[in-house]
Amino acid sequence: MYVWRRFDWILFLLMFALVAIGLLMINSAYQAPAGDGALDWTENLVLRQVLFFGIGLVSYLVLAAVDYRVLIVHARWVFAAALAMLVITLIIASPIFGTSAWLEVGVFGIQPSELSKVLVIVVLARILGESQRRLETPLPLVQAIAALAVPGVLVYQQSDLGMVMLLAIAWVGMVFVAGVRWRHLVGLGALAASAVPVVWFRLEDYMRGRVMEFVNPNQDPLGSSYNINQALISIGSGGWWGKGYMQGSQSQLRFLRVRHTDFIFSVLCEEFGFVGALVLILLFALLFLRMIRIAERAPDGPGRLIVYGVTILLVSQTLINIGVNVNLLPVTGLALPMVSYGGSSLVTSMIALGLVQSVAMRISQDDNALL
Amino acid sequence: MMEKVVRHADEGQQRRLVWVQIVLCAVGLLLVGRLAWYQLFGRIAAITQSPEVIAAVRGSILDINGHYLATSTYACNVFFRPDNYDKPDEQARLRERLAVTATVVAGGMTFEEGEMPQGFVERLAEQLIDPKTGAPRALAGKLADTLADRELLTMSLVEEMSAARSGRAADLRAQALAAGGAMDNSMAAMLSEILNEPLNDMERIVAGSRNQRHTVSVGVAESQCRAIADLGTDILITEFDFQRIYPDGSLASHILGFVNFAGEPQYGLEFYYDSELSGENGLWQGINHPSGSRLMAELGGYREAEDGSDLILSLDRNVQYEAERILRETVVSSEAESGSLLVLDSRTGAVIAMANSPTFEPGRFWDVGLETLRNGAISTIYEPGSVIKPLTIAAALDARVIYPDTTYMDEGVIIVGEQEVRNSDLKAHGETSMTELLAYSLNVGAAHVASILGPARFYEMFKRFGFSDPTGIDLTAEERGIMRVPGQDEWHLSDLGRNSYGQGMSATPLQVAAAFGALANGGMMRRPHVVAAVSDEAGTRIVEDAWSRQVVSPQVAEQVTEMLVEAVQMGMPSALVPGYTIAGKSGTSQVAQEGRYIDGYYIGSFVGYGPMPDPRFVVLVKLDGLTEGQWGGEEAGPAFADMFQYLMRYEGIPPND
Repeated sequence: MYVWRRFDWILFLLMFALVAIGLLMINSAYQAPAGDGALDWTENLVLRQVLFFGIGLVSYLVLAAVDYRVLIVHARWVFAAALAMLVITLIIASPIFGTSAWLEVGVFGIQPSELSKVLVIVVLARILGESQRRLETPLPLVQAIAALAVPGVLVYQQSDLGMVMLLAIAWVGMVFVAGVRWRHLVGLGALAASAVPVVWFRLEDYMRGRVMEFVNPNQDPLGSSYNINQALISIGSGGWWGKGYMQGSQSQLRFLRVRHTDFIFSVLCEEFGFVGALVLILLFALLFLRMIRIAERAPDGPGRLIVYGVTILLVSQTLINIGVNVNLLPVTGLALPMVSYGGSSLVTSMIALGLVQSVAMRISQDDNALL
Repeated sequence: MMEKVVRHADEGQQRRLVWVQIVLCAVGLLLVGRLAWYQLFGRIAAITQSPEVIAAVRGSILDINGHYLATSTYACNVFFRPDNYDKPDEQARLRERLAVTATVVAGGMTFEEGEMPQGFVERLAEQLIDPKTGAPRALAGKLADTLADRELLTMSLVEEMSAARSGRAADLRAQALAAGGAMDNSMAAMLSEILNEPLNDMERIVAGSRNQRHTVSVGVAESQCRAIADLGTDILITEFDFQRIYPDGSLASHILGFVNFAGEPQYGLEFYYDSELSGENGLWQGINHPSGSRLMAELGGYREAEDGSDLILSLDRNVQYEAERILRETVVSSEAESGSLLVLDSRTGAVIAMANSPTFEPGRFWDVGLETLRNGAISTIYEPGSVIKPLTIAAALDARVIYPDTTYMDEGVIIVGEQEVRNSDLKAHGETSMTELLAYSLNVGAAHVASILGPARFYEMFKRFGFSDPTGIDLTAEERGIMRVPGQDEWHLSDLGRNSYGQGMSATPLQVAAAFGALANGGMMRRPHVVAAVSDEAGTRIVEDAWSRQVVSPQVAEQVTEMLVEAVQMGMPSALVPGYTIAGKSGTSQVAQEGRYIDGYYIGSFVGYGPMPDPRFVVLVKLDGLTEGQWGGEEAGPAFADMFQYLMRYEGIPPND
């Protein structure tokens, strides 16, 4: 087919490299307990992650094949789908780890709220990207607020603070980059500033606890901030070159909790040192630069905003996850995109990148040569 | 080409995108910087490392039924550091903590598990308020500020504080926040409250010597220890340690030994089997995180402690208890100074009971003198006296110089090696059988038999009975006894005469009992032992007998046993056990000092075995410090009978018709 000749291999290979590093680190971080004999294959996290990658790859290719403009045209159905996912999750979710956002599908937990954030980006791209002239009125901004607020409240009901935060950041980024007028932005800012104290007191206890813990992590070294301290020890003991693959004591001896998910960056830091961490960050940087290049050449406004939205979403998630690992941010429960173990996270990231690929494949021949 | 780019992304969007990129790049660089700070120049990379010992748990000692005779528990010890106490800032910090504690308690909060004792807050408030003016002491305001700075940041404390804000709690909090003044008193009062120790003792500790740390209390309960540790002060140190527990108090103390304050094993099994019991300490290489917690540093920096093995004894707790009771009562009723009682399994050499009086509690070993810590049954030598006569007869029978029906002419005196030997009643008994010799304990007869046997064969046989050699029992500090033999300069032919009835030589009670064990066991002597098995994670290993040897032939053993059965009936009726047939021999001896016997100080003993026809137990009773006119048979015999009677009932052995 014509469009497949314009498949962006660089975008794809960078993503693939990150997933591969993720598999490597999951293998190190999550060894089966010694002496337990052969485990059921569903217990092998590396195999499971490979399977998730397979699911993600199919989704990626499907989305790349579908012209993103079809989604833009049917944005209201996309929005309806996002809300439906969140509502279904709310209704039938079983509580796991205090977050009730896991929808059991077969042996794997799939988190629809993860997927809904990508759909919200498509909707926002439609609202904000159609024409610059529309932005002269505050209407698109109000629509955008609604497009964030409704799913935001639903996600909040599922106690997923990290996801709400991420959605909000992506929203702000898209609104800003789309060119919403300064006068509208300032008005919105003033409104938001007055709402902050109210929100603080409405927060769930555990959310406040996480924020407080971030303010003073040494309060209770073996209590709630235990894991942050352990992550810092992991990172700190890595040095320049690290202790070597499978040699990280913090992770191998399981002092670090959720080491294969939220804290996989710490495991990498311990085993491959500062240099290894830089390599990973560099790969992320290259991927994001590539996405910005694609956005600059996108055939139309909505396409450009989709790519910007996905870029901001993934960059924020990456920065926040690393920020948590190096104790610059409170623990949010956000995974490192592509790298952390977790089906929902991986599949969602790949779907998001599939959207970007879809845009990249529709860049006209002349512009494509520039890439 | 540029135009085309501009065509897609207009200028306004482009400018804003640059801003977004700058912000994201800045955040990214910040993260990389932070990473470098931790990984390359970090405070964590420079963490000090020091190995820490993981104490192995000392093995337990169990009796044959599995009852714990000695075991280890995890216990907390509290120490007081006067050097830190004398630092003003350390005192201030403690006051601060006490104020927090009081606040929390006053607010109705309880500590996790380690609850503060009742009345503590009131006591504390008393100490912190000026008794004359009734006003809070000076530091109160400053402390409240400190609390706000430091403690308000934890959510739990916020809740605690708000709970403390209401009603009476607020008053108490204000009072508690007051500080200064009689620190010594409040310190002692607090220790006394938390640890349930007398206030006087605590005051003495707080006011005591400044040079060294003082032990406030050992074996403190975990909850109390937590209350102390929660104070977070360097003035009071809590250390967890293993404590040796002897659940039965003084039971079998001489066999067990004890562990002293330094954790060193002393006496008995604790010392003898220390390498098995103590196990091997583990180690872990920890790192000190700036937050104060210790965390694992390196792979391989952790070596698990190997706990000590358990000892399973042949000793039976119930028999031991009865042995100690009988011995104690016998020592009292016969007005003896001390005594020993031994029960051996004659078929295996296993020690079933081993009692000494006076005794001690291993958990309070400091209560008694060194002499009482010795295990008299294996560490005290004495002249055994007439109980030796059956062995002399056995030696002669084995050498076939006499036969069971041999008689001799007792003239009341016999000369062996230029020394006169006389009977204890100083009488002549005429023609006398071997059984009568034993029944009436005639020295002249024993000397006569020994002299026709001759020194070479006599001493060879006595060596085989184990005299002057340790039995090799698995207990520490076993004595070997003294027996001079031909070839040694000190030996004289007259020794043969004396030795034939157990004088001029010495032995431990265990040696005598073990020798009788050979007679009871068809001439086959077994090594006495206490530990039946050693048990650890790998499993339970039965301890093999170290040695056994045929001392006399089974026929000789049977002949002597028959004589002794008859002799008891004829001459030692107080040792008879109704319904059972036993063999035995009494002995009364003196203690030699500087070449002559001490007047008016006697040792009486009885050794016997049974029940016939298949003897299972050897029982030896020995009483020290009897007076003129007290005889071994009459004093020790009844104790033997009591013990034997108990064994028969306990083992369910039916009496004869």
